[in-house]
Parts: sequence; structure tokens; C-alpha cells
Amino acid sequence: MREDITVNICPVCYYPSLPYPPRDYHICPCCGTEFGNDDVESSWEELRENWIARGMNWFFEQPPANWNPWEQLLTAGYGVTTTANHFPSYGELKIA
Amino acid sequence: MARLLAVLPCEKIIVDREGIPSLIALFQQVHAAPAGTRADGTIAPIAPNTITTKEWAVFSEWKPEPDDVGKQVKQVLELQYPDGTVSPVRGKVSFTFINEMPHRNQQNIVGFPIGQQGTYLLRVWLEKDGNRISDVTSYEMGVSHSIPAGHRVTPTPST
Repeated sequence: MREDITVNICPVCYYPSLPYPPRDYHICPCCGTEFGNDDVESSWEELRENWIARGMNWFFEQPPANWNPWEQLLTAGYGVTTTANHFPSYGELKIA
Repeated sequence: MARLLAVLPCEKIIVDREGIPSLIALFQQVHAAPAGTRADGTIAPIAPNTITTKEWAVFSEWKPEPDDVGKQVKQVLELQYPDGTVSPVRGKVSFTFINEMPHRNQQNIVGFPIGQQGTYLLRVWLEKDGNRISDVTSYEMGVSHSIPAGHRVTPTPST
């Protein structure tokens, strides 16, 4: 038996509980993006930057309890980077 | 007792047709930089249980002793928070030492806990029948939170 579970995540603000897929003029209740309209002339990245610049406000009615836009973005990997130490030395070996 | 020769976290491990692994982008530090601010110039703290959906992998290599050959063992991997508690990143992989050559493991992980700042310990050891049969090796990994200059961190108002 197989069960497929689809989770609709907003590609703009990464709200993880969209009631519908992000298309067909559905609107994200979190960032207010209307898919098929707002994202025609602006990319998801541009819409995301605009939402962040406007203060990451919840769009439709009241946000879920304890909703935290920073945590939502970080959970999706936005603003998370990794680094490593540089090689402390580099040597070449010549075979005599 | 088998000896751990290497444990390395990285972004990805590529294995070619002959089974030869290549490690992509080794890393030791994760930086979390919350984007944006409220109208009052404040930002919210990163919640302690935040896990970013990052894909990463751990490469490890074990050198068996002659009497380890033929044994089926489990490699345990866990990521410990700076406060010493174990994060949700914990897993086991079973394998058998088929000969005296080093045995390589790859563990792919989705999610990296970033809720606490400081030094995380990536701990690796071997178990057999539920008992630890190797030393515990710890690899230090750092998590830092970068707060934009001039901003204050205040809790998110309850909604």
C-alpha cells in the first residue's frame, strides 16, 4: 500500500502549510503572493526580498499561534550558510 | 577493536560507478543570519528547537582488526547540542567488515539544528548487539547566529 503525502510550501516565504499548491491564483496567507499573477513579472526571490523588506508581516487575518517569520525562513535554509577552515598549508611533493 | 580512521561532514558525497566516493564542500561551521527586521528595528531570537532543512552527509572510514572480519556492527552517529543534550540528528547504519581493508560509510542527513550557538559535537562509534565496541570519536562543529549590526533581539510578540 502506498500513500503519497503532499506538503505545499510557499516558494516565496516558505510558509509550510499552504492549503493549496502554489499556482492557479491561490494566495499564500502568509506573504500574500498570488501565484500565477504576482510571480509572472517578479521572481520568487524578488517577491521574497520584498516581503522581508516590508517587515515580514502576516497577510491574511491572524497568523498561527507563535508564528515566527525568522524561524520560518531559517528552517527553510534561507540565511543559513556553511564554512570550513582554509587549508593551513599547501605543499607539493616531487618524486626524485 | 576497529579503529576510526576518518569522520568528515560535508555538503554532499558523490559515488562514481566504481563506488569511489568524492566529498564535496567539507564544512565545520554553520552560520544562521536572520533576515529582515521589525518596524522597530528588532529581530526575533532563533528558537532553540529550530532545525534548518539542510542536506548534508557524513563520511566515515573504519579500520578493522583481523578478528573484526565477518562481524556485523552498527555505526551510531549523533549530533550533540552545545549544552550536552542530543539533537534529533541521530542515526545508525549496519554493516559487516568483509575483509581487513578499511570500511567506508556514508550517512546522508536532512536537517541541521541551529537553535543553540556554540560548539556541537558530531559523535561516532560502533555498536554490536546494543553494546559499544569502539571508542567514541567527536568532531567539533560550530553554529553561530549573526545578528545585523544595530539591531536588538527581542521575543516575537505572542499572536
